[in-house]
Amino acid sequence: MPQIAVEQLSKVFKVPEREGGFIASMGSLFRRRYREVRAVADVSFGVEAGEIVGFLGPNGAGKTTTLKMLSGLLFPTGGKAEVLGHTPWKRESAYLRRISMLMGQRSQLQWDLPAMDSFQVHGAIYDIPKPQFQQTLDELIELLDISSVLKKQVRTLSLGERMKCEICVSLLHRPDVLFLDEPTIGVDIEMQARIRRFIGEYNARYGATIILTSHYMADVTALCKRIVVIDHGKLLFDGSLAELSTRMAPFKVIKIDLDRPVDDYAFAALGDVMSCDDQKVVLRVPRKAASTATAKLLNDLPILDLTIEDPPIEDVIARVFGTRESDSAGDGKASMAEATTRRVK
Amino acid sequence: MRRAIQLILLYARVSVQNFAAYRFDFFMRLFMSFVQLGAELVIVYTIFFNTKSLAGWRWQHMVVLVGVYRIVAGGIRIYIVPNMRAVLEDIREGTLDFVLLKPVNSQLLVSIREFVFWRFTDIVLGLSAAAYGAYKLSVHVTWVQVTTFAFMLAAAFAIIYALWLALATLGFWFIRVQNIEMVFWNVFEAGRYPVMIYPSWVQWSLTFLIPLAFITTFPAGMLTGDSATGVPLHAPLLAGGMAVVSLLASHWFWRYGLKHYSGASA
Repeated sequence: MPQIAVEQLSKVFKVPEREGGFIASMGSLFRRRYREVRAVADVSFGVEAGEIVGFLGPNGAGKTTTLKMLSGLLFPTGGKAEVLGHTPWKRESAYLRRISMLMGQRSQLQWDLPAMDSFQVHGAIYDIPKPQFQQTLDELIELLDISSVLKKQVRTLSLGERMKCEICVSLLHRPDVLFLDEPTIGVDIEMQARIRRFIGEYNARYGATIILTSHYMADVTALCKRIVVIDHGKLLFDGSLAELSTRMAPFKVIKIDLDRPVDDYAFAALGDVMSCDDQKVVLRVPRKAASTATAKLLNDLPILDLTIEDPPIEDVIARVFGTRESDSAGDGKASMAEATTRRVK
Repeated sequence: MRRAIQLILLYARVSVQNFAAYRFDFFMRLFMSFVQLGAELVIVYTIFFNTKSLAGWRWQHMVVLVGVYRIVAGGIRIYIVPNMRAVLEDIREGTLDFVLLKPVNSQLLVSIREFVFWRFTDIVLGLSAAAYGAYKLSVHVTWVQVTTFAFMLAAAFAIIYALWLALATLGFWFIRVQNIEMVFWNVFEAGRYPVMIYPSWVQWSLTFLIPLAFITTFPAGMLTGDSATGVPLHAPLLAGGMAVVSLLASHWFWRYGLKHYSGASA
């Protein structure tokens, strides 16, 4: 039995809409038009205890909505979910005590007080026994390296410092399941790496199950063995990173260094020429044709060095969403695809 | 219950700390409370300079009413309005998420987070005025009067709390309802005078539609213990019933509203 089991989960939002202009504004006072947006559509997956799963998808794909349903913040329109044996949206306190959700874009710390005060409030709300609270706090302070900022007012902290305090406060009750929504948003690269390292350590030390969404591919490649790709509310892919590139981008990238410049060689016949810079050429060839293409290149050209690589994960993802968007071309806005308009009194 | 009290104390402490962080001028505020009470008493003085009684209420009765008005207005500003304002803000900003994630009853948590402790000056001043008025009516204020008064006051706060919780819950559907606070205070102003002075249909509305009579007129009347005020004897019964019904209804409405919460930015 997986720790997180999601079956056919759906969420439809009713969003009021109106045309621009004065008359339309007045009209909407009396009769509102609503558009139904399917934020999440029949998503099913399971997560085992101790796994770290990365949620990928463009803005508005339904990642956050899914996390919010799993943490009990939103009632789904349809489907089932069970986390740690509880139905999240019943919001039983036995459940809420065992999970945590961190939202990188929002703060739950008391703005005008030192972070330490927020930690203590959190401890009291979760009714954490004193010795356990102190022990967890000490560990987190050490892991996150925040001992120097605890006594400063939160509003005076840098974004990175504040983010580390946000992480600390959301872990004080030692949650078994952790939902991280953009935990590294807005912080500099070095801080991103440290937060990433910390998440990995927390997972290893406490065996916590983690679902993570991020715009930074590095977060995902560093932490998650398993990726779930969502777009337009639908689950597009669920599997390992390596599998993602095989399945979603059936290409290899061949890089060659030439001994001397070669003019008018028909590189294009082998695959897409991604760059051709004098003596360095980068080609993208179909995965299946990679070995024949390599043999041909080695045979035809004065080659100094040749490497065959998987395409960068960013490109894979961009391709996945790129093709999806051109599928529904003419629509433009991603979330419009599933939208239907109707009048509601 | 023990846990609820623990949390109330905890947030009260944090609010006091927050207040200290801003270092507002406490004495300035104390002074303002005095001015407000003074202005209200001047109005009473002016009215009774021209007449001896207002729908059966003499000046002593009116001083009690002014006191009750101040107590209630103060109480609303200590807990009810600041918390409900915060709920509306949280719904708009999506920060209600953090409340809902806590393993604590959400209604309890949204009702106790803010605590404007310096408004206690209003309660102290209001109590003093009410006590003075009652004392001027009869030197012996009985225990029955005081107990009924305390009960009526508790019911008044329960009704206002329920009303405000319902108003805040509307925020789940209508994201911008901030102006409602101004409307509330404008209506509440009517509570400075006994409802008996209004035409009968207004009286009826202020008793059963907007139960303002239960908020100021009836508690004040009970403290005076004087039937000349026209407060019905069964008012405590009605007040208790109304308090229970409105608390239950608003609790149900809050839970219903939560299902409609969608959070800011999905």
